[in-house]
Parts: sequence; structure tokens; C-alpha cells
Amino acid sequence: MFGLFNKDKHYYQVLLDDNFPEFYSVFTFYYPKVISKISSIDQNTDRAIETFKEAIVLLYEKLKANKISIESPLTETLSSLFKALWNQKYGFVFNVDKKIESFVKDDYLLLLKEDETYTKAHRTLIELSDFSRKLLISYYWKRQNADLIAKKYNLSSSHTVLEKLRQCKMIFLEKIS
Amino acid sequence: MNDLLHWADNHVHVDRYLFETAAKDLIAKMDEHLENCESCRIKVKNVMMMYLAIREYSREDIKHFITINDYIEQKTKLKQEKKVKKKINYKQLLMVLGVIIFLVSAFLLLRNMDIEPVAIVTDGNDGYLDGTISKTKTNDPVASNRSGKKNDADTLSRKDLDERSYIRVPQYKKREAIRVFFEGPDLKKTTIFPYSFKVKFKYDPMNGDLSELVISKHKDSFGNLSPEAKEMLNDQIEIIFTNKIRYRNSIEVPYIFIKQ
Repeated sequence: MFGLFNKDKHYYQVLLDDNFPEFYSVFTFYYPKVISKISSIDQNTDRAIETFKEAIVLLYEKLKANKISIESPLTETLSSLFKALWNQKYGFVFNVDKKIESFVKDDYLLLLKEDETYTKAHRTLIELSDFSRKLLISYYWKRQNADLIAKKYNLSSSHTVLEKLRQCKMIFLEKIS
Repeated sequence: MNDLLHWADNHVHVDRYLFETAAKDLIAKMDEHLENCESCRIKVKNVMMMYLAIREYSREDIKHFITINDYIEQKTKLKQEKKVKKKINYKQLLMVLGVIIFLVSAFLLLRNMDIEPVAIVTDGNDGYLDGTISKTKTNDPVASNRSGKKNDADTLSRKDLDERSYIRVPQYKKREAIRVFFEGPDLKKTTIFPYSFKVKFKYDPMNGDLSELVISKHKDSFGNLSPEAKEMLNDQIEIIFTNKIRYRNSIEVPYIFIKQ
């Protein structure tokens, strides 16, 4: 019991520390646990594996946004996220916790992906300089604070980071407007 | 919030709205404003699009990363499996080698259990001197009645002994040497003395002089030394073979000769 708890803690920490090389270990550790409890779908199919990967990414995002507590059992959380994503992608199959379901429904991309502005935005992001792109990703997606980003990219202070971010954002928005 | 009128002009407000870090009632007001303000709605939408692009790009990046790791993991597993197989083979090989070494060692040890003198040193005066033994107390070289002890199957010829070995005692107070010669098997075998060997001291019961040394390959050949012989050997003896390997005993254990 304690062992499992510690494992959960360890893997939560892996996610919170942006330890991307270890994300695969989250997959290998929890995928068999989650999938073995779901009898209604075939195990080890590409669809199941792909959905589980998406569940890990969603878990990471929600952890960063403080939407999921690190006290919740990770197997259960991943299982719920997996089921919610499966419902979204392949039609309703599972009953899922409403809160978790809302995470998937709030996915802006599902609602706005076809938007022309999104296509522009995607292209603009690729066209940005490597530094600008990394800066935007660190701040908006990894939710890293300005101090951490300053350290990571050898910038003098958090103010510099925020100023650089503002400039990047302005350039970005001008391009997609 | 006075600037809520066109709050989308403020990047901080947009970020708070997007990350839902603003208070719930404020977000509700923001939503309310967006419903009526086209300009703000477009601005917020653009920021949302930017965020979505970033998120999608990063998601794909991570999923790709996991996939790469999947591939690496599989490769590593395969390598590990191969290594494990190799390890098992090595272990088996080592075990077989160990058993062979053990059996060979056991065979050699058991074979050496047979007391087999490899050289006999006797006193004599026949002129075939390979070395000398002197003792502290004796002053009577007994030679004449020992000269006939030779040509045993296990002894060397005098010529061989002459060529190959000699015995000397380095430091003695009195120097009345007994002239001795070897009679033993081929002293080429001496090279197989691993570390030490034993010598049996024979003495003449008539006068108590040291008369013969029997060199044994096996260390357990001679456990007890007679009190008379002990009394005679109150100093060290050094045996030097022609291959320059020196063996020396100690006063405490005079019958064991240790390679120097």
C-alpha cells in the first residue's frame, strides 16, 4: 500500500518536474494497471495506446493548472481521463466523473480546431525563432514561472522574461490577426 | 476593475482569463463583456488560438517523445535480453571451469597424499658433494657407512644431483660440516614445489649425528621430529637448488622448508 502510494508520488513528481524523458515510465507503469481494469476494449491496440498517451498529456496539463490534486490515486485518475478521452474520440462507452469529463470537453481545440486563425497560429508558431517558441511553451504550456525561465535561459531577471514574452506574444498576435 | 470595459487589451487579464486564475465572479463579468464586445472577443480568440497552437505543438512533441522512448525501450529490452543470455552462458562456462579446476586440484592433492620422497640427502664421503649440512653440536662426520645408499628408484643419480642442487647452511657457530649427497628422484620435479616442502631428518643413533635428509613434496609427510634431531637442528638450514630457488626452515619448525 505504502509502496503504491510512493509510486504515485514519484510519478506525480516526474510530471510536475517536467521530466519528459521519464514520461514513458509513467506510461509503462500505469498502462497495464489501467487497461487491465477495462475489459470492454481490446488491450494493446494502437487506439488504446494512443488514447492513454493523450491521457498522460492531459494529466500533465491539469496538474500544472492545479486542476488535479496530487493526493488522488494516479491509477484512478488516469483511468478516468482515459475513459473520458475514449468517450470523446470513439463515442460514449464509459461513465466518467463529471469533473474529469469537463477537462476533455473544455478542450478548446475540439471546438475551434477548424478555425482559420488556428491554422495561422500553428504556422506562426513553427515559423517563430527557436528561443521565442521555447519561451512561449515554457510559460503558457509548462506553466513555469518567470524566475525559473530566467534561470533556464540565462536571462537576467524575471522582468526580462516577462518583457521578452510580451514581445513574442505581440509579434505572434500581429501575425495571426 | 475599471478597465473591464475592454479588458482584452490588457495581456495580464487575458492570461488570467485563459488560465482561469482570476476570481470566478470576475471571469463571469469578463464572459459577459465578451458576449457584447466583438473587438475583445477577437483579441481573446487570437490569444486562445496562440495558446492552442502552443499546446498542440507541445502535446505532439511529448507524444512523439513517448513514442521515441517506446522504440528505445524496446531496443534496450532486446539488448538486455541478449546480454542476459550471454551472462547465463558465461555463468555456465565459469561453473564448468570451476568444477574442472576443483576436480583437477582435488586429484593433485590426493595424489600428493602419497608420501613420495623426491630427494634423499645422506651423509657420505664419496666426493659427490652437492651441498653441505653442518650442525652446531656434532663434530663427528659420519660418512663411511652411508656411502652405499643410492640407486633407489626414487632417487637421483649422483651426477644429476651434482649438476642440479646443493645444500648449505648459511650461519652456524661451529662449522664442522657433514659431507652429504643427494639420493632422490629427478630434481626437475623440485620446480613443482609450490611454496614449501618438508624434510625428514635422520640421524645416526650411535653418535647422534645428522646423517640423512629425506625431502618430501607433501607438507604433511612428516609431522613429528624426534627430540634428538630437534636438538641437533638448533639453527636454520638453507637448501638451494640449482634453479636458484632457496628454501629455508625455521628453528621452531625445522622440518618445513619455505621458499624464500
